[in-house]
Amino acid sequence: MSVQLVNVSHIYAEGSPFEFTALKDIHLSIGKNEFIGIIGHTGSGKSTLIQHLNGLLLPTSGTVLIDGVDIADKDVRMVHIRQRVGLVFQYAEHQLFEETIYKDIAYGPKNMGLDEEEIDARVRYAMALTELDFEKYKDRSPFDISGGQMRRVAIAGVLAMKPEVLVLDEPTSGLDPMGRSAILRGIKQMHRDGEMSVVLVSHNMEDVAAMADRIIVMCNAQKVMDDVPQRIFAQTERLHEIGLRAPEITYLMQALKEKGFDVDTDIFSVEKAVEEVEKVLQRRGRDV
Amino acid sequence: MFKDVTIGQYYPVDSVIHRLDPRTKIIYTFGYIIILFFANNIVGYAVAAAFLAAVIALSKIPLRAVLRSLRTIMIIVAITVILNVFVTPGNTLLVIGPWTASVLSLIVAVAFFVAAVYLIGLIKKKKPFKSGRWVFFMFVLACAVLFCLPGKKLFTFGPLNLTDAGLINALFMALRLLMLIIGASIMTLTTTPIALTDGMEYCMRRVPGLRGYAHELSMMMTIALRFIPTLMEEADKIMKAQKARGADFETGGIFEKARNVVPILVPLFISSFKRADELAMAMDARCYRGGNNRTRLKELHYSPADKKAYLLTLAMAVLIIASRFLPLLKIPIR
Repeated sequence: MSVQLVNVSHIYAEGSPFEFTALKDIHLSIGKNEFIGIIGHTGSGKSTLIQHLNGLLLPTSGTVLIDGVDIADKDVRMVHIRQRVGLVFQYAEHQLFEETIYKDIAYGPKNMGLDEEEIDARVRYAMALTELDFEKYKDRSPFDISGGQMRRVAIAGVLAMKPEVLVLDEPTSGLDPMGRSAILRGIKQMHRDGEMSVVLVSHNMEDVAAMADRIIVMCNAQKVMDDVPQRIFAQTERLHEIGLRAPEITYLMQALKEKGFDVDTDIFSVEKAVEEVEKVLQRRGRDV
Repeated sequence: MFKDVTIGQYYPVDSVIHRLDPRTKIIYTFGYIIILFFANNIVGYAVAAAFLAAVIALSKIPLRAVLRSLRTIMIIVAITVILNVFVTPGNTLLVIGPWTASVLSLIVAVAFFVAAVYLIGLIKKKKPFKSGRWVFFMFVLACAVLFCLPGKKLFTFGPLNLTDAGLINALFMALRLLMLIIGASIMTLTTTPIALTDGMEYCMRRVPGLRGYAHELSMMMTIALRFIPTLMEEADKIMKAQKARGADFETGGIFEKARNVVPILVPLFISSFKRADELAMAMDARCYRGGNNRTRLKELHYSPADKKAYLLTLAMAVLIIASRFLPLLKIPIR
């Protein structure tokens, strides 16, 4: 499926003294099985943008099309849209409310009107993807597990609806390193196995660089860049102007290059950097 | 959805009224509300209305924003007017009714109402009962139908006497209510919540029984006010998160709707308790202890403008009380 935003603008509290333009003339299309990262400084319109993808917010002007159908159309059932485009909010654990983890994850599928058997299968599927042991956790209260586990339960609650596009707003903020890597691993696996498109909003450039195939940069309510990571992070000057940075390791590689080492500067992960430095050092060793 | 809750919300512009000391505005508001009940003829009302109009003009708040605070209160005003018109004894101008409803007309009225509502739903492509204005209109029409058809007598309604005193009484009652609400909302429109609770603290200190609790009470109010927008934002966020999981808060009967808010209320309560706890800790960490001997960074000071405001309010009060003795168009209050 595809999601398309055509000329979308969103203005909060239009006509009042609190009027605020959160999105301005956004053109964007999300295709099948893409992995998109959205970056931008705080207040750049990222959160408003992703709420348009599943119709939680409707544009003030412009249209949002899902498979070519305008979601503002009266005949479109919002529940269908929200099932196809799953949205995980920042601090998703704040949405938990049920007595048991099982019931909480089943809330979405239940709202879709599925039968018990299917719901059960989906809860198991979602818990497996988020690395939560079904037997161990299903009857526990979602309020007496750790923060990272709560976050994973909340994400499972959205995954259980088997969305075709999964949108995550800062899924790792405020988590410890173990919780972080568990969630990122899960997302990567879902993208690979589930054939779903993933949209990841993050302030962590390392995560975005490592996972996304395409990056969208937001600044002051506008989309300013939309390209593959290599080309985005090569423009460090431009990123600084917008209030962003490339991954730290990229700066190290650039510094090495300035010092006369012939390294590739299009590198965003520590693993790749190690390979590259080894390669260059071996070459030097041969020359000497 | 919570973005529309703007009853008496602070309206940020710079004006003489905005700059007045909050104490002045609080005392003025109380004074104005009390003095409104002293006005009993057209002159008194004119003075009160003129004063209010002058305050609104000085506050630089667009009239639309001021009138918006009346929206929710209009129903109460309407009920007051209707009751007053028919209940006050006086010279009868018009007799309405009596009306007799019949069994047949009841059936026809109900059928008409249901059919009309569903038809409108179909035409407007909305769920029935969703467009409130039309439903209300159809309800009034159905009520009319109820008394129109002949048949076996069910019950009789009326007769209602429309009296001259009733009309005048209702008019003035409505005016008084409207001025009262506008007068009070001017205070909240021109004063930030923090300034307001500050002013209340100063005022409460002057009240003998409240002296010892003035600070605690106003601190509680400040915190409560401070967290209203935060909680609304939080509720909005949780609601969106549940909607993203396919929750539906719009359709369904009253019980279903009540059950549907559980997924909002539980997380909201949990986060409120957590927030309260964290706030208490943060206050403790900064060595907060309320009560006596606490000094403040910003003391309230009266300015010359405040003196003028007090004098003007006093002048208005005197004028209105004096107007009671004028032999002009007295309102025949029961």
